[in-house]
Amino acid sequence: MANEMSSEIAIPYDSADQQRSAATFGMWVFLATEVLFFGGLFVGYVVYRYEYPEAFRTGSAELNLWSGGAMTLLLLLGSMLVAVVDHLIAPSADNRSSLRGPVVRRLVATTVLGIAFLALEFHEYHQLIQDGRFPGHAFRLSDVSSDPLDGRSVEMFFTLFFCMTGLHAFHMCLGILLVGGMAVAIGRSEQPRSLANPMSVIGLYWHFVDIIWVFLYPLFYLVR
Amino acid sequence: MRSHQLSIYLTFLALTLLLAATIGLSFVDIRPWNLWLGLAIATAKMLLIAWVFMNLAHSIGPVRVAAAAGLLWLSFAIVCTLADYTTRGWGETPEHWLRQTEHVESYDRVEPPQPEFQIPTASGRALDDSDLGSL
Repeated sequence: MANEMSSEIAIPYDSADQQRSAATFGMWVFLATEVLFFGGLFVGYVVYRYEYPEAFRTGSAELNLWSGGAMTLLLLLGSMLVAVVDHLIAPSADNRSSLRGPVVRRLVATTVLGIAFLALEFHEYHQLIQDGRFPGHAFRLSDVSSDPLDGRSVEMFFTLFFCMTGLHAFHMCLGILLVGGMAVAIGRSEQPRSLANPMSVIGLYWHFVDIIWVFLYPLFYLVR
Repeated sequence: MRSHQLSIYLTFLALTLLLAATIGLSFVDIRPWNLWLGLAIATAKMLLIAWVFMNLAHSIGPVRVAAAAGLLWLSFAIVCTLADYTTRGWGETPEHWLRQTEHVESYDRVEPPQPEFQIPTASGRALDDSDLGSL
């Protein structure tokens, strides 16, 4: 086992542990920049919600709370499966039986859950666009009498909704490609454990995308 | 290592219960606490995911610093922005800052600036526009 791992050590690392720590650290630094990437939009959300709280209640009432809840559950389930895979494939794991099957099954299930999430999201986008809730010339809302900006502040809610959930959906697409690609790579690999580091890094990305949604859900769907 | 797998399943259970709590909270009108409780639950979910799923519990110090750095800077951005928006119109300039000042008329006159140095010419007079032709 030790020889198998040492053959995977890349320059300039002294040990497999050091290489794994470097990969994990690099990914966390990238995730910190991602927090700030989404951060600008979160700051915009805070400002507009502070200025127009009533518009956010009106806009949120147009969204399907249960659909958003189901989407959250799909992501949490996917995150759990990825965490188990990361645990099974880790070099320190004492599982000596064949792990290719269990790992690939869980990764494929995660990919399917991610696709189901996007399907629900795009269905909701479709409904909102049909109902005239997409910002722009076609935007319409029946009751704007109480709106300080004559309907535009509710439109701002939907601008933020489409921007933030759209950016999240883009990250989901990348995550699905990465997790699906990992399932294929592990399925073809003679030594699945040699892919422990890429799997760990991709897992961190998937969990991060999950965390972003954990905040988007109450901020958009549950405004009261 | 089996215990770690068990902790992953238990964390998922806790996350599901927190999700149910978030949804349940939206049916109770306790404004403005709906927002703060909703954010508190979301933060609890984030900590569970980061600590157990993202294995922050067994990570080295620099990894934890990197994890905290993003949140720290985001909190700076939100707090500084709110510090501006929430304090707008908090009151006009205090009266005692608005003392009447004496009006000095001579301050109104603006004297044209005098050149400190003039280029000497052969005739001894200062250089002017008429000299441009001879250059």
